Amino acid sequence: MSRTIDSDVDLALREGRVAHFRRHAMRSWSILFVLCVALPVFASEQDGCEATDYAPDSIPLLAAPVAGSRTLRSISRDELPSLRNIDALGASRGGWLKVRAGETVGWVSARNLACRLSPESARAALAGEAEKVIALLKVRDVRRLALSVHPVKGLRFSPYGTVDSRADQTIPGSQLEQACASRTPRIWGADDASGKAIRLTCAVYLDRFVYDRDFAAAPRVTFNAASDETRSVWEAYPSAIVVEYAMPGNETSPAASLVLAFEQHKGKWYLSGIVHAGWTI
Amino acid sequence: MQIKLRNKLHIHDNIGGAAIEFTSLATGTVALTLGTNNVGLAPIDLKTLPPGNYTCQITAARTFADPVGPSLVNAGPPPDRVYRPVTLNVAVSAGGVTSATPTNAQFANVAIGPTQVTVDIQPVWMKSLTNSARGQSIEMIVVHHTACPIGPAVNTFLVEKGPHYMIDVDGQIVKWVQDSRSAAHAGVARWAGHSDINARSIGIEIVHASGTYPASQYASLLDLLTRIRTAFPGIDARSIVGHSDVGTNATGWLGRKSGDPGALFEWQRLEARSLGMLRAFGPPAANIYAGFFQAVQTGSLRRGDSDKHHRFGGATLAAITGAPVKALQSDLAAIGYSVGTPDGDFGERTHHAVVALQEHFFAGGRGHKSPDGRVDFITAGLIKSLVP
Repeated sequence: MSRTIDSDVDLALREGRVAHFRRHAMRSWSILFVLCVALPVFASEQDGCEATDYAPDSIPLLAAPVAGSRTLRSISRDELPSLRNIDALGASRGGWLKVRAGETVGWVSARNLACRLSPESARAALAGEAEKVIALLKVRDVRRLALSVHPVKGLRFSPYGTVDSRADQTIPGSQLEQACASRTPRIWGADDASGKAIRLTCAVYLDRFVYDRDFAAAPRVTFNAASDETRSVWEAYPSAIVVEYAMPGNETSPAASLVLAFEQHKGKWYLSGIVHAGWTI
Repeated sequence: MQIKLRNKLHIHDNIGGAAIEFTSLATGTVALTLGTNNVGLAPIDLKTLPPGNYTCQITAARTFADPVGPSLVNAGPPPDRVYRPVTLNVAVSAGGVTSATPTNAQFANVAIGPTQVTVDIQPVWMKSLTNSARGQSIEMIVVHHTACPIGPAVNTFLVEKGPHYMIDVDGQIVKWVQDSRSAAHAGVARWAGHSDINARSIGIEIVHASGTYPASQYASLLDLLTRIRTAFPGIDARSIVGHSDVGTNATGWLGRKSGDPGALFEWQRLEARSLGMLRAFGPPAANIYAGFFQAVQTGSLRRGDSDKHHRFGGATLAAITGAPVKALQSDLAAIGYSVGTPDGDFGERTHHAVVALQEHFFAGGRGHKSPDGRVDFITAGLIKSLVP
């Protein structure tokens, strides 16, 4: 068994569910084909995808979200704008995107492909959930926040605008409440100026590097909009819905943004990243 | 009537203990001598200052008249503040002070009210609370921009973190940390194989939020760089870099400080003075990087390329049998960029190093494209020209 496959896929393999994935893919194709003819596109479907630099010229569309599984067909670069991302499977490293290419539904490694919702579709899909999450952060209700956390990837906390997969803390949703009740400091990355470890309890971290301003009242809230603050976030979460709460600067304080990254897993959007894109020296 | 002295860049700082001397232009004699109290106030007795014209010399408890650089606060316990000495041309009528104009407009702002003349004086030294012992010799300079106006920058530099020097939009320089101490400015950073960049460097912040950098800032920066290099000959001219050239994440990938000092900063002004990374003259050889650009003239080495798998420019090219990616990584490392051990795989770390280099050398209107991490022939030639 490959050591590179991710935990939920690993579990699926152990349970002999690969065949199920294949059957499911075929059934999904049939159902979706009918729905596409009869109904408008679901708001959560993502319109158009882009190849990453790692993608080969022809991107393999696999029958299951497992490296080495059967190739259903190859996707040419010309087809990418018409691809529809209909689901995703989270993974601790990368992930898998379920896409429809022409009449075929299959899986593509997120290393090869990035699919994003338009700002309008992203807002329509997630405005309510984002509002709930920012409200929970405001009152530090981590118990309820945990219910929104990505079940596979957990919740990654980035103290600055550059996501650092090695240094940032990632806490599973199931451990979030306990982690934030603990008085034991954790290391949350490195200070932007001294380079020394940011060693704080979760509660203090939330005060200083998450909700240090009233982001719920931010005058500018954007969904999947490109900005200096979200550029690095897109690299870390290429197929996410990225919600930015931007607070302007003033005479004494620089501008700051709180950026939430939501990623899809089995048809539902979950919170997988909180990025505090404040001023750094 | 009273006179009030404040810090021009941080008006909550009252300048106590300053000497103020009015000299009559008519007689050449000292008419009035004052001293400010601990809230920066000094009463003016108009009976001893009859109507007429005066020069008013203001001397804070610690002043410095020379250009700001290593000679300022270079030894001993650092004071909290050092200011420019200020001279005002003052006109007094029966009702009080009617005008007060600094002889050097950059050294003071003056506001005349019904009962108070407020003079905000340019500081040259403001002590940062954040610094530490170096542990290394000074061998490089890191240039930053503040990415915000001066107000938030000053508030931060005073208490949290900050550089050794700051250059305001009018070219005035303020020093914050003694050169012999390490300032908290570079954060996690790597250059030329070193990761203790704060210990090895002097940090300079240029106050800049948007738009082009004013000529006054370049002039001050060039003079300051020269003074620093004179004081610390161990700083090679090539070791004057931007924060974007050195700021990495924990894994060593550059890009953490992308945009600092940014696309509008004109490194060519430094290069014209032989400061910073300098290019060798002449075109690159056509066969650089294992002849990739002879095989694919308009191609670009890019993320995902691999010597081992003969993948170059995003496609399999079995005809190229050399190791262009490893050669590229070796060149980037030789220049100083953080690429790790050259391994022939054009991964994220190499991609971010190329972007950082492009940011530096495409800035100031010199780029033929936006920094994208792809090594086309022009970028390849640029890299080759920078290898020492």
